[in-house]
Amino acid sequence: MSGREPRPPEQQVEASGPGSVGIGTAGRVLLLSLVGPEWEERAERVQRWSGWNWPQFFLVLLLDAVALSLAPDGPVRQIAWVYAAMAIALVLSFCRVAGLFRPRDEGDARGRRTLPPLVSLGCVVLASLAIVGMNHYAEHGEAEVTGRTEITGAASAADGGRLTVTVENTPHRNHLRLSLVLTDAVPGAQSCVPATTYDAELAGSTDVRVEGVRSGETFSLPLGGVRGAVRVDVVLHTDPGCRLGTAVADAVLHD
Amino acid sequence: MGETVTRTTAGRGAERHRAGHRMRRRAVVAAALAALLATSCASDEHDGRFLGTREIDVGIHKDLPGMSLLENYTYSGFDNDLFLDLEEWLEGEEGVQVTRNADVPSAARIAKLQSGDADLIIASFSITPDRMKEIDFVGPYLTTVQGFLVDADSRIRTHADLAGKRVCTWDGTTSRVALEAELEDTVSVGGTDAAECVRKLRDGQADAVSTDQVLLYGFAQLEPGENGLRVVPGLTVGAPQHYGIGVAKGHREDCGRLAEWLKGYVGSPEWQANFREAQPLLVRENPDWISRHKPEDELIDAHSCVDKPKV
Repeated sequence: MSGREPRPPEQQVEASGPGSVGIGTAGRVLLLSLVGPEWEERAERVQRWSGWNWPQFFLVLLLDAVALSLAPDGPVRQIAWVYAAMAIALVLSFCRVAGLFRPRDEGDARGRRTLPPLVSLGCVVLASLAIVGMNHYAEHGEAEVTGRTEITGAASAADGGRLTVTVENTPHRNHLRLSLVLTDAVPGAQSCVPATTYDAELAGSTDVRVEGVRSGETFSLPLGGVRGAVRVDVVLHTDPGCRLGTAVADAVLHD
Repeated sequence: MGETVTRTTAGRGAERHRAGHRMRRRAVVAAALAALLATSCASDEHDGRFLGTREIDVGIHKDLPGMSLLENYTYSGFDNDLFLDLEEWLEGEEGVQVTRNADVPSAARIAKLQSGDADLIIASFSITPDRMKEIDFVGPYLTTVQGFLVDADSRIRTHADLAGKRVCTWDGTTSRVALEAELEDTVSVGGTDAAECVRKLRDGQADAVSTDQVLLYGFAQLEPGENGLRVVPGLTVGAPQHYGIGVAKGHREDCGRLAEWLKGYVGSPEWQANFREAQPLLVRENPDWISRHKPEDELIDAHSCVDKPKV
């Protein structure tokens, strides 16, 4: 019944090297006095936020940044899945940093232990796919060009009036999807829009033509290898005496 | 045992009685609901109200020969014929009383509807996007174009002949807007109404009166001959004018029913007969009058009961 009782595990200290005994003991005593016996559990939590969990996160972050820099100007809906992939990759890799995929105890299944590296691999693959996707849509996706479109003679045109829609600095695509909005130029004295249609054709190519288009209706013209500025000639058909304004509602280049 | 059987039978009888009572109660509730539903459906269709009232006040003009003229206590004209057909439908099918208010100046048509002084306006009322923001239209029931009325001996035949000439239009019409937009070198002479403009033309204070041709032909057929008035053939300005029935906003369901009725009216022989009777001079001078003046169903759908023209 004599002799000292063994210290509880959290108070046992082992250290080696010159001067390390005193320092180790002092450090542990200090920690115990400051944060109590549960300090090791807290330290373990902090450990999850460090070490080898961070490089995979920074890699995914870098890949996402590259994908973002390649994002085209086109409609967001076409690249929505790319943004989704980027977001999922980033969130999952951060979850690994936070230790959400870490085995809870030694008895955890083997599959559970292999989950963190698999998650990291998946995140890298997803972020890489995002780069490929962005690159693809930058080359072949829909390009929103409404802001680069001009109409000559749009203020007020009568029956038979000719307008030219010009799209400047266009990325190379095979088709132009266009929608024009017609408005009554004298809204206090006429209501001509419902009875008005227009024909549109690619400038210099009478083969590429659509007829009888109404205000707000969308049509698509094949561009046939046109590079640089795209010009579309428009002819209005309305009742005699009507005057109409024209504006571009939507202009999109696509393959 | 026997007691048990009796009690059980009695219990079943009581249950059956309670079940029967519940079923009867459910049947009564169901019948009441069905009756309520039927009543509410019926009230949607024929509750004696249209545009929220049992007495429809229709505003019309009284000074436009060929369209709506009150003379010797008798109405005549195409708008008046439309009113009579509409009155028959409203009183017969919708079960409302219809009265005619023949004191609606052109400039007050929108205000009359908005203030509730009139429930409907049938007064050569051109449908425009600007007006559609303030009131609803049902129509068009007639399409016309703006022309020029001159003395029979006038030399005005072309737009160039109008340069420097005094042209009379009156307040609250689209005619003045179109004239100022397209023929800036004419001298605008104002009038309070059509009759005043025609009086100014006869008195030499104006060289021409400009408004919709169906109105001008109405005046011309009142004063034919060498010393009378004539509509300059082929001389027009501005866009086609589509006449609609004005309705205050907020009654889209009734408005839609009225639009369906109007489509039937415009497509019927009645429309042609009324036009022929009201505008004999126009019909005589314009053999293609039906294609010029009769609107298609698509045009009626595009303008009826909407805040802006549908495409």
